[in-house]
Formats: sequence, C-alpha cells, structure tokens
Amino acid sequence: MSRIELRNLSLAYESGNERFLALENINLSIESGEFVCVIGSSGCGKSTLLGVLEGLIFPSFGEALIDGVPITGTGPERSVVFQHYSLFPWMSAKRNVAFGVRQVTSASTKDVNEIAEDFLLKVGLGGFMDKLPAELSGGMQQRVAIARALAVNPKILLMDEPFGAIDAKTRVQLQELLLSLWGADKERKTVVFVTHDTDEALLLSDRIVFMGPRHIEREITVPFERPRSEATFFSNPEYAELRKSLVSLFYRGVAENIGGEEVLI
Amino acid sequence: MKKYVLNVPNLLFLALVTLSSLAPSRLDARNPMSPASAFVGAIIIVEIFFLFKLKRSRNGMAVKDIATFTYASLLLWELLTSKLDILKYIFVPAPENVFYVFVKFWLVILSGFERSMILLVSGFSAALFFGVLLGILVGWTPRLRNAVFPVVKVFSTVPALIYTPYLVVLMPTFGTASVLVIFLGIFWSTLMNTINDVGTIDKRIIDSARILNVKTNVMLFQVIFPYLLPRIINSLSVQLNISVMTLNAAELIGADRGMGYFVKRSIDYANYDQAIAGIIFIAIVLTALNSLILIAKRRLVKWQY
Repeated sequence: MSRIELRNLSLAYESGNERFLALENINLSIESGEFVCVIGSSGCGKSTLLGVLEGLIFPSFGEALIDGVPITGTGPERSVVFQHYSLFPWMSAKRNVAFGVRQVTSASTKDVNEIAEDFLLKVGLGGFMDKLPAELSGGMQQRVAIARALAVNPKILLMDEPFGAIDAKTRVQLQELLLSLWGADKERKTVVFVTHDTDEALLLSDRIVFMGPRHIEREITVPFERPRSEATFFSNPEYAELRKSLVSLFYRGVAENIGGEEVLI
Repeated sequence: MKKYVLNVPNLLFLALVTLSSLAPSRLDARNPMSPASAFVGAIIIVEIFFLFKLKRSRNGMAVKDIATFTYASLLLWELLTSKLDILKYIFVPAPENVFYVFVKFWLVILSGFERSMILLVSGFSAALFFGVLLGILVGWTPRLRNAVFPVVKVFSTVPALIYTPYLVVLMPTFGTASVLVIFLGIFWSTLMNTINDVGTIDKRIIDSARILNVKTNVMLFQVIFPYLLPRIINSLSVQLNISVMTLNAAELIGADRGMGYFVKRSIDYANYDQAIAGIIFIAIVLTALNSLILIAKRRLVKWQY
C-alpha cells in the first residue's frame, strides 16, 4: 500500500520579485510496487518533482498524495538516495546507516548496529564498515547511501540521479545491485528513480515518465521481463526499437531548446 | 647519527654554552650578574627540543633554520650585554639575569600562572559553550536569526579591551571582572560566527538529515554541531589569543597576581630582567596551549570539508 498520486501539480520558485515556474500541471499516478524512471534533460523539473515526493519542496497548486494522504513533509515510509554528499562525513559507514535506523525505531543500540551491518553486507561493503565516507570511492559511498535508505525499511524509495556521478563500469554494478535488492523483497518497494540516462531507465523501470520542460511529455511502458541484465538486454531487438524512439524523443526536446533561449545538453 | 651532530645549530650551541660560562666583562655593583646556570639550563632545554624536533621531521631544514636563528639571537644578546657591554645594562638586561628570574621567582611565576589559567579557562570555555550553543539555536530558527544577528554584529565589533577598565571597577572582585572580560571578548564573535555558519551550512547535509526524519534536537546536536566542529576548532587558536590579550590587559589594571601582572609590576619597578622573563613565560604558555588545540584537532576531526 503505497500509491503515489500527483493531481494538477504546479510549482513555482520565487526569489524576490521573480517567479520561476518549475512544474506545470503535472498529473501522474504510480502504483504500489512499481519501478518508475523519470527521465528528461537538465532543468526540465524532474528533480523538483522528486523534491515534492521527498517532502522537501511544496507545490504551489494541486496535490501530491501518498495512499490518498497529502504530503506535508518527510516521512518514515519514504527513503531517498541523492546524487552527492548525502552521507555524514564524520560518521563511519556503519554509523551512517545506524543513524538512519535509529531515527525511526526505538530498538536497542545492539539491534540497530546489527541492522546496519546486515544492510552493509547486502550492498557488499562488509569489509568497509568502519571507514569514513572520504575513505570510500564514489561508488562505495552510493552503496552506503543505498544501504542507509533501505535499512529503514521504507515503502517508497526515491532516487535522484544516484549513479549520475559514477563511472560507467561501476554504474552497471550498482544498477544490478539495486535491481537484485528490489527484486528480493516479497512486497516490492515503490521506486521513483530520476535519471537522464535512457539505457539506465530502460534497464531498471516498469514505466518511463518522459519529461519535457515543466510537464510530462509521455509515459512509456517498458514491457521486458525481469530479471533483466545488461548482457541479455542489448541483443534484444525490441529493446533496440524502444531505445531508438526514446533517444529521438530526448534529442527532439534538446533541439527545441537549442532553437530557443536555453541550450541544454 | 651524523645528521644530529654535525650542523650549524649545534656549533652555535657549543659557542653559546662556552661563551656564557666565561666571566662577564663587567661586574656592576648595583646590578650584580646572576649565575649563568639558569641561562645555560635554558640553552640545554632548547637544544634537547631541537634534537627532538629534528628527529621527528623529515629533512629538518626548517627545524635547523629556526634553531640557528634562535641561537644566533641569543649569542648576539649575550655578546652585546654581558660580554662586550655595549647596550645600556639597565634597559637591556643580560640573558643570565633574565633566565635566573625563573630560578629566583619560580613560586611567584607559578602562582601567577595558576591564577591566570583559572581565569582564562573559565572565561574561555564559558564563552565558547554559550556562544556555540546559542549560535546553533539562533542560527537554526529563522525568526530569531533575523532579529538577533544584526544586534550581535553590533556588539561583536566593540573590542572588549575598551570597556575592560570599566568592568574591573564595576565587578566586585578582579577575578569575576576578568572572567567577564574574557567572556565578552570572544562570546559575541563566537555567537556571530556560529549563527553565520549554521545559516550557510551545506543544504545537502540538512536535506539528508531531513529525509531521515530527524527530530530537532538530533538535527541541532548530532548533525549541525559535528558538522561545525572543525570550524569551531579552527577558530580556537585565534579566540585563545584574543582571550589572553584581554586577560593581560585586565591584569595591567587591577590584578594582584597573574602572568600579565608580573610583567606590569616588573616594568613599574624597572626590573626589566623580570619583565622580559615574564614575557618569555607568556609566550611559552601560549605556544603550549596552541599545541594542545592542535592535538585536540587531530584527535577530534578526522575529516575535512
């Protein structure tokens, strides 16, 4: 039970007398257990959209609902993985994960530490529990962030370009890790995953929400069976077809923007 | 082994010890020369410290340069005063006399040190504690921040030195006055800096705490405070120097003992050897305190921004 619904959602940032419209009349519903990728060029408002779901930004008009209840702030049923700097630099990997768990349970320190260790093992960081974030690579830091997000057992996982700053090889490993962790749950978590990488979106999601500037341009169902892996994927002709249409959608948007005031690549 | 024996500082060290063991050029009846023992002792302590530092450093260039400079200055001082008698004896006392002050007046110096330290530590830690605590609370609450920050800015621009004499008159004892002076000397700037730091804290840190659903007290003391800790520790040595300055200024006015008072009274009675010894002592104490801060920093802060 964690259905997300956005109704006529608009959002404007105000600074001084300037008003900047970031989202305009968004309507979207995401079913419980669905893996949805939000894709679009930089500046199209996809991170703002996720910010609304996180409960860190509030809509100017319209509603954002989870299971029919309006979002009024952050909540324990939602977890977030950001692109950068979401770990606390003074805490070891284990303490970072344990810190997250401690905010939502009243369990003993021993239990909390056990949960933290358990999730760090799951993301393959058994040998790095006592390292500070600065001592870990970017990919490892995101593994810790994923462990922290999952350790609180959320119903909804929100991911804001989590692998955007990771090198290509590590990114593939992290994508597969994410899929296997998500697929392992009996009651699957609802995932909203923001990215600008079409391949990533196709590999991960059940549905792709393609955003143009400030609005949802198109929703595309991704019909491939799970489990998916990078290897079986590229040889699939259906995949190639879908990818082609998605990429052309992507670059048409970019071309329009180049014709206008913005140049966004 | 060669590294530790054959170098310029060691040569100067031997020259200095030999020179100071020789008899002085003149024995003034009104200003009798003190025994050279304390001076030689001080030189030996410098030498031990030099060898220790030389061992710890990789190439030792800077350590040798500093030692050379120190020994050269002491040598010059020794020559110009007790050996060649060129400088006015009254105004520039010989190093033998200056260092002998530590032997003769150690009890006075030590009790002054104790007194100054108690005042310093209480004023300093109280200002730091309340400055950081209030700074975090005010900085986190937009309404308080907007109202308090401009006021604090005004207060922090007034140097505590200017109202020190008034506070010494106003407060019942010199002790309370100097604690208050030290407190006010750094409280406002600590408060201002903390409010500012909380306001400009990396939004991503705050957001990642928010999405973990932290309560306000956790946000303030388990997220914001540890995040600011490196900055707070970095500011300590500057704050410490300001505190010692205000304390010494207060001691010039109303103390009956203390490190600054020792210097001031010595100057009043034209005991310049004691005054210089007192100044050297303050320098040593300040350096030691700064080293303590550095050690604390290495232990507490294992990460950087």
